[in-house]
Amino acid sequence: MVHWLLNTPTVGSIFTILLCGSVLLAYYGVLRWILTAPGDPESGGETMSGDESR
Amino acid sequence: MRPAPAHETKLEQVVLQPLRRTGPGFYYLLAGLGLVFLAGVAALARQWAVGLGVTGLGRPLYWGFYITNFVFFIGFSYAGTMISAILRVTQAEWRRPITRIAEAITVIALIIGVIQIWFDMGRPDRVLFLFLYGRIESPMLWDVFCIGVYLLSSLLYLYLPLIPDLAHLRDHMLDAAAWRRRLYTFLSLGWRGGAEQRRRLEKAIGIMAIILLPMVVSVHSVAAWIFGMTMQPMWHSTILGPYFVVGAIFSGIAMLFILMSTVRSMFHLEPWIGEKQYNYLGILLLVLSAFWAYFTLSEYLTTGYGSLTDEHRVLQAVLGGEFAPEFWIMLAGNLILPFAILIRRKGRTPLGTFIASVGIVIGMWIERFLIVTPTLTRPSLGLLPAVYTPSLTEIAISFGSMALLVLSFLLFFKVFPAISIWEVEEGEAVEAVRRKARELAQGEAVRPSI
Repeated sequence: MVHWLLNTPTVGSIFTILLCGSVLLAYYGVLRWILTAPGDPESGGETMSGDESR
Repeated sequence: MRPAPAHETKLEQVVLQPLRRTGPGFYYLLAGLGLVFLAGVAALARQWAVGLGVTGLGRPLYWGFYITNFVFFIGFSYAGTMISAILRVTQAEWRRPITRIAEAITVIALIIGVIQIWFDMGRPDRVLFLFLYGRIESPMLWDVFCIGVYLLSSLLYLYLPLIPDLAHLRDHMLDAAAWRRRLYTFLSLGWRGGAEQRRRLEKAIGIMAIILLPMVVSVHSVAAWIFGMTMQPMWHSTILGPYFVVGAIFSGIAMLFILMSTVRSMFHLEPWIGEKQYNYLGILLLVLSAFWAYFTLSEYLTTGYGSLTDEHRVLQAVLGGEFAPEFWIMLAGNLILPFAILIRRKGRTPLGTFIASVGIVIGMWIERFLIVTPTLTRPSLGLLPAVYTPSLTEIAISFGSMALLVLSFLLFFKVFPAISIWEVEEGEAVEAVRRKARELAQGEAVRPSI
């Protein structure tokens, strides 16, 4: 079983794509978490003047 | 030329000036780099039309300039994140004006490094096979995974500190071209900069800095293991991973110096990127030069003392054979020049570090070349020794890649601020509070007790 996992073409690719995909999803989650902070309306709304952005 | 709005601070005015105005010098530079880049594209088009045979690469000498460039560019990408992440984690205040430049180098160099593999493929249409038929036991697949995750992480690490600046540009660059305003609005993701949003952003940046440090080590170690996992003389070595890592940080900091000095001088950032950054990074460069020399000595001494026939032939080719001139230039660029210039405090100036860095970048490219090529010219499986002469195609593509690196870097900073405005302003506020606290403490100390 271990040999099959290590040595079979495509199994490694699926493994890689799944891991990279999970990382991508996690990073998307981080962005969502920042942008939907309580007290701050979600993205896409009216923008405020710049001084508050800093 | 559009005047800067009166309500902007000096930092904002200076940093945003290159985004508002472009002088003729920039276009000349762009045209020069563009020509070199186009020469590379033409050479690549010819290679793809005629075949990899135009480069002369084949058995036993299947890797030359392209794989040297791959290792070299990935090395640059290493230092950007490494410097930025380490300085963030250790809360070094002087990092603030240079982190954006370091993070941009990471992403741009990584992308240019990865495409070198594509240039090296006899059948470039088969590049997708890496993703379709990869096996876990192959270090090539480990590299695909490590570089893939590292690229995603570096992009996020570059993007997160950009968000507040993008919101600033969105709200203040109202007279900019429509495409710019649309880009800033889209990329700022509706950022409003509330207290909780800021707290979460800073927390995410801090976590990313910690995550990136082991990731960075893994990327270059895996790149080294592509060589080290084979039984080829001078490649099959246990220290190849750390040797690559040290060399990568070394060359990356040198590249950071070169690009930092270019941007500093072009965009007039002298008040923020100054003595402190050049002095501290210059010392770091010196330490890394010593580390690199130690690893090189360890590798060569152990191999030479062992006297295994195959390894000895490669070592002789490097130390006294056809690769000897390159070896001595490498030593001069990576060890003698940095020590001669940077050992004294007076040498760690913008000009001194720039000259030392150019020497190191040349020396480190040669070091990568000396790892990749001599081994293949002395095959150990009964084939006759080969001679490597780089073709014009390889030379043109290599220069084209380097031009693309500088071109991408300059264009990036014509669209995005070269200095993280909000972080530098935050640093100035922290410094002001500390100064006040010191003044109060001194006042307490000198006040006579009643």
